[in-house]
Amino acid sequence: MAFMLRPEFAVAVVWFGALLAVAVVVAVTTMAVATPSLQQTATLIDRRLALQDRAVTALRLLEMSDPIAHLVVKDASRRLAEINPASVFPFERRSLQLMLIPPAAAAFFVLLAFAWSIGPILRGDTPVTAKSEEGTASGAGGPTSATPVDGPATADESQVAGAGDVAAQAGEPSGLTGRGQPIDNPPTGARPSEQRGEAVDAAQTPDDIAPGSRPPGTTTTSSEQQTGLSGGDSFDGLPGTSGVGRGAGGGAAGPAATRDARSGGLSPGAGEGSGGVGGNQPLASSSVPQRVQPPEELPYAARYRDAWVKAQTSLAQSRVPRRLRQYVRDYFVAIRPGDSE
Amino acid sequence: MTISTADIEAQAATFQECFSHLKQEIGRVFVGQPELVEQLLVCFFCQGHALVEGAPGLGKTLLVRTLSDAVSLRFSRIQCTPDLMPADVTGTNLLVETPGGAREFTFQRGPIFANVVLADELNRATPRTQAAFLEAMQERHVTVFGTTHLLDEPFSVFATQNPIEMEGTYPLPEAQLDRFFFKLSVRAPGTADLAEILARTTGPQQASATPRFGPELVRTMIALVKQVKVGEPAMDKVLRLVRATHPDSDDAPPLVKKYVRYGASPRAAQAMILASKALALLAGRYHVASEDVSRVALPALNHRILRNFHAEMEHISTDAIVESVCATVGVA
Repeated sequence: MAFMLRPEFAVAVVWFGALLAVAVVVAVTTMAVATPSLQQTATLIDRRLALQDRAVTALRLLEMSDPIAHLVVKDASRRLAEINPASVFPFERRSLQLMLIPPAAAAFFVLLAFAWSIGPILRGDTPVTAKSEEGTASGAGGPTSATPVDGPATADESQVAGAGDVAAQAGEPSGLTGRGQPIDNPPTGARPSEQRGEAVDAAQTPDDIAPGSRPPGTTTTSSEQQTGLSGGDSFDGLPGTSGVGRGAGGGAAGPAATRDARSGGLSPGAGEGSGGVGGNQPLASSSVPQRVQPPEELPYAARYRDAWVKAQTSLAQSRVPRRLRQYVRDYFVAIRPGDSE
Repeated sequence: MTISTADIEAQAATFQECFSHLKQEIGRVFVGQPELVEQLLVCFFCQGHALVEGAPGLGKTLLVRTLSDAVSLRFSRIQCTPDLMPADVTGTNLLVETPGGAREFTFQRGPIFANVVLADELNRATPRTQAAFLEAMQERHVTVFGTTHLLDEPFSVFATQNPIEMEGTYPLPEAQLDRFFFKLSVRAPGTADLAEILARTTGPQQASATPRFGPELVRTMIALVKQVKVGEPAMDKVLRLVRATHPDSDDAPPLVKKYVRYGASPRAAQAMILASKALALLAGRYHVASEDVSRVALPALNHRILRNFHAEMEHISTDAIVESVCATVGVA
């Protein structure tokens, strides 16, 4: 059932609804256009019930005050009143109708299954995929995937992190920990190789380069980053914060990821392997599907955090040209949440 | 004077009784062919004229005479011969002497002044004499020496003609044929009917119709028939039938396009509608249904379709053409 979370599936649902609406409109329009007039209906009834043109003639003479016209209408009314609809229109199960029952039933069950499958989406619930429930993410990505944040995007991220492409990133902005909030979405780590070599680009955070904390463009070593992480995975670089992790949050996953990142720094192979263990820990408590707040309803700080995580991932994977990396960081510094948010 | 629905219902009941009585009385004298009798009565109550065609000795004259007797109307018979003059039909001015000794012209009414006129072997009369019937049949009056004399009401001419002896005859012109409401064919009786005819006519007592009703009641019935309404499907069927008899019509069947010179006139449509009204009233309805039209299509159309040379050479009858027209229009 992993397809349920894909955006294209949501588009398909929208298309299905649109087509259904169009079909309803077409059906109603066709019914309105093809509906026989009163005269045609009377003619049809006369023919089907062998009324010898009584209904259609009476209909035409309905408004006349002629005594003969009255008699015609009276005669037609009497004959029509004598008719028992059940006897003249008996219910017949024809062979064609019987043949249509199996495909109709099959179509009904298919529609029923479809409606059941899209029900959670329409209700706004985000079903947890089997992948995320199984905790396939490894390394530092484990805790990230175990915390549903924004549906499919989170799943993709968790898959990326779980694949070991991105190792634990030290010193990333981990939520709002700078204000003492618990870290519920620890950053994915950087590759061990990058930690050793390009750790400066991958692990620099806006906090690191925030005014008053670190001047832009300054570089840190991987050991510094790791040291920063050791402060309890706190986002210690936000303006107004002391720079030292004051939040005790991060839960159990935080230290685990830190340890993995550290070990990854020393030994890349060990970093990936131990991350799996660390990722499984919070899954046990978050395997139940949770209601996800739509992105437009998320507070700005949370949205900022998500965007920064994605930016960090892109930076760590060298998707961003080197000359623009500083620009990205500056941008995030510029739009970081203020105290009022 | 407004007439109530109760009066109309009473008149309709009388019409059905009258019709039934006439059928029964005619049936006592004229053996078999109930359809022919019914069509004759319909023609009479619609105040139409009928051309009764049949071989000699089939009871054409007896049929018409019995009708007149049963309704208690004035009946006259005109035996048409080549020397029959128009004045013999319409009447003429005679110089008569008054009781005071004066002499003056007085109009002497001819046999056409009757309620039921039987023009026996009309095709043996000269065209001039046949033309004398034209004015009487269509205008219901005759003009003699500049004076117009109205005919009695009701008035119906029943002409007979023999289809097998054409020598010494003057085939009726198309204009006169069109004036006949129906053309009825008298067929030879079957064995059972023939035996019944022999039993009735060769015994000591001759069957006769019991007179009843009278001209006043017949006039009321005639007026009632005209009040019957016509449904749209029936009207549509009549119009399509008439259109289909014309070879230049798109609705005409191939037989009409190939063998018909002239199609039916508007009089054919009038005849079908009127006859259908009588049938509807007879069926207890006050409106004409499509089925009524179907029953009167053949007698109303078969003498109004003029065949071309090819049809005569290939012996295509008008009945066959009318049947193809009915099949095209959907008349059962």
